[in-house]
Amino acid sequence: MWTYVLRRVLYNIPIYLVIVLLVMALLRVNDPVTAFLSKNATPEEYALRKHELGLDRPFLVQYFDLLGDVVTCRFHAKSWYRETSTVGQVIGPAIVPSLSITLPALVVSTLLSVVIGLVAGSRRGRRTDRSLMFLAVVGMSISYLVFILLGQYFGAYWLNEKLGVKLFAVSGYEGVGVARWPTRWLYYCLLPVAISVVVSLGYDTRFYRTVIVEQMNADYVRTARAKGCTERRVMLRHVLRNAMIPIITRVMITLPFLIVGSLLLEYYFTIPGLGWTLYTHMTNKDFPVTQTIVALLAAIFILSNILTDVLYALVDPRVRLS
Amino acid sequence: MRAAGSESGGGAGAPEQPTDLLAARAGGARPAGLLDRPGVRKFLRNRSGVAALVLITLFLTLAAAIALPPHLISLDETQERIGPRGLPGLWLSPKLEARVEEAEFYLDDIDKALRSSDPAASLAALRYAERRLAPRSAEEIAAILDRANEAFDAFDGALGGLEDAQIAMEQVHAAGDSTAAQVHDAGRAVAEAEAEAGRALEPVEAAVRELLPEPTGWAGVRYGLRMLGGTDRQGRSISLRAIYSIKTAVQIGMVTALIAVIVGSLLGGAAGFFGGFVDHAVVWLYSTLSSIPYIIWLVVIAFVFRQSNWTVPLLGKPIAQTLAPVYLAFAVTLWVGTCRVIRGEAMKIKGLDYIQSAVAIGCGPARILTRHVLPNVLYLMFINFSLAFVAAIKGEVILSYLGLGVQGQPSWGILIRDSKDDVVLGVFWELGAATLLMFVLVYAFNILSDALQDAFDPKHVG
Repeated sequence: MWTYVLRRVLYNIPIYLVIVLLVMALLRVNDPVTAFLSKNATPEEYALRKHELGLDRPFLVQYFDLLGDVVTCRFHAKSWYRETSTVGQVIGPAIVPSLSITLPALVVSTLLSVVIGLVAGSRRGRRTDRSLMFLAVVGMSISYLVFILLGQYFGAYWLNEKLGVKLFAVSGYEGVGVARWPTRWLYYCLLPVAISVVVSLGYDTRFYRTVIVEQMNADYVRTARAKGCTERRVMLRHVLRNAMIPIITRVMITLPFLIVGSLLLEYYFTIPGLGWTLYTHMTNKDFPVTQTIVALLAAIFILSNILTDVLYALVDPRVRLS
Repeated sequence: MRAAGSESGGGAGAPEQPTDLLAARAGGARPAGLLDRPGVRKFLRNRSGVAALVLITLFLTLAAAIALPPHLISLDETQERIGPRGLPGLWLSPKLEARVEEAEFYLDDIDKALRSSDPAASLAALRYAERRLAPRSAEEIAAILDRANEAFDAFDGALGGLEDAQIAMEQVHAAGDSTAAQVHDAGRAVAEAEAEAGRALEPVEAAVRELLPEPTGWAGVRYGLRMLGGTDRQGRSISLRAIYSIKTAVQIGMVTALIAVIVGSLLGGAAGFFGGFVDHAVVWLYSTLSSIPYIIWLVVIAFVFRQSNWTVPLLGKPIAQTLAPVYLAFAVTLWVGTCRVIRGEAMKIKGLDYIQSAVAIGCGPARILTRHVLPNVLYLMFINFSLAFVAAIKGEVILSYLGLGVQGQPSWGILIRDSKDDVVLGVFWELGAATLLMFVLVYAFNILSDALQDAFDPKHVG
């Protein structure tokens, strides 16, 4: 077992090294200092700035600097956009807002779509199934932006102005004060969460339905029916249990994306999560923050990949041998 | 005895009865015609799939007609002001505010033209799409304009009455102790004042129609098409912009889906077929690329290349003014899906008997790849093309919305971005037009992918 874990870790290290290299090279396609300074900066200003930011050092030194930051989780480089704070101080507070949107959204959308998938799968080809899948494809075909715009219009503006129900904020986010957290969360985050659920429902429902239908063709379903199980018992006891593996896989795959949150949702509702932070700092040419967030995301993604692999190996001994 | 294959090669559905297997083989029995394949037949039986294919062909034709000279819709037409800003589409009855704005817009411009240093020239230049200034002398136009302005002053009086009624209604609402009858009366007063103002506006509109008559015949059809979706906040035709965006979307979808499928199939096929080092390298490459979320890649790449001052080799334009950043962003991210699928399929096919036999009779790798592997993964390429197309269209909308995508030509993302602030004001037709067209195209592609999978993928669960 441990050799397997070690092998997965060793396999993923070069991937990470290259991804950081790629990101750094990509962000240096345009000179970040030129982009940051205005066009009529003198060469002296330019050189001074470049030296201050440490960009005149050899590429490899910068590379290992960033790697060291990620490994030790200490980001003390200065942010260029918010000049008084370090990169760590920019990124740190952004994690909770991101999670407070994406985590509930993931839980709700997974539960809902597994249930819908079960219903549709067990009535495969019948009217319920067909209309549910029709709705899923329709949902998949509408742009994320439209869901956001309409959600905000009806959920926040229309309710507030036309019906006088001040249920949701139009946009914004408030820091976490423990006592008032639940109501604040409802006010600021429930609408983005609901939109996010609606968006992912289309994709998830179709995926889970396929999983369920595949399981329903298996021999054990026929056996269970033959021995006289009720249809409900077949679905919940046999099919759902066997479908758990792909379900868990899909959830595990989405876990790293929770951290970055939904860039679009955060951008639109001005929720200061990681996606929003990345976007605002990137468009304001804040080079260190952009570089660090992307490198950090890749690290989280790879760690969770390793974790998934190990979990598989724990569940299914055959994996270890391959 | 005849060689069946040589005859039935081109004919669709021609009855094929190889009386002698050997003879058939000697005649170089080609695979049956395209329409005879069981997968194709199954696909053609799927009515919604065929309908989706027809719809997509329609969109592609439209895109080609816009892109190729004689352009169906030119880029200039989409940027041209055709009327007042925020005018609702033809199918919506305009509210009073929109009607006032429309009348003011036309009257102001004629007024300006009359007062300019060369009235004749500027009157001749007045053109709002097909709605040209009526062929009258400058004096006649000035006379009609005076009449219209007088009528407008009268309308202003009616507007004052409407405002008074509205204020009265607000007071009734604000006062806590007003009875239901009072509220009802105030509401009726407002409605009456509004109708009165509407009536007062009619002579103004009549004068506008006299000055700028609505075209009839073919020009009228064109004019109707322009005004169909109303105008955006800069007075440009929404319907033209939304239709022109089909070309933008198809352009991006085609280029990126082609890149994704070609690169993905080549790398995936090589990885699966040759195995060993090649396989390791390809798997490693795509695991590297997919360890950063898709949207982050898109945003970062599009941003970086939009900033850069490189010039695109063949076009000689700066990269920021072309679609190259968008293509690059999708090219990096979209091939991975195709590559994974093709790699898996190639690995499976490699072990099958017929490949072993082909190797045994001395086929080279090139022949095996093109004659035996390729036909068996072709359906996967089509499905993935369709999936990549959808991903590219949806991604383009998001990028354009964030200001990192298309520039200099309309696209659905830009339309949605423009309409963002108007939705709150109840002006939703720009959002509606972009959403509707995009929905139809993406929905058709989704249905097509499903139909292709149903027909060709034996593992697919319908």
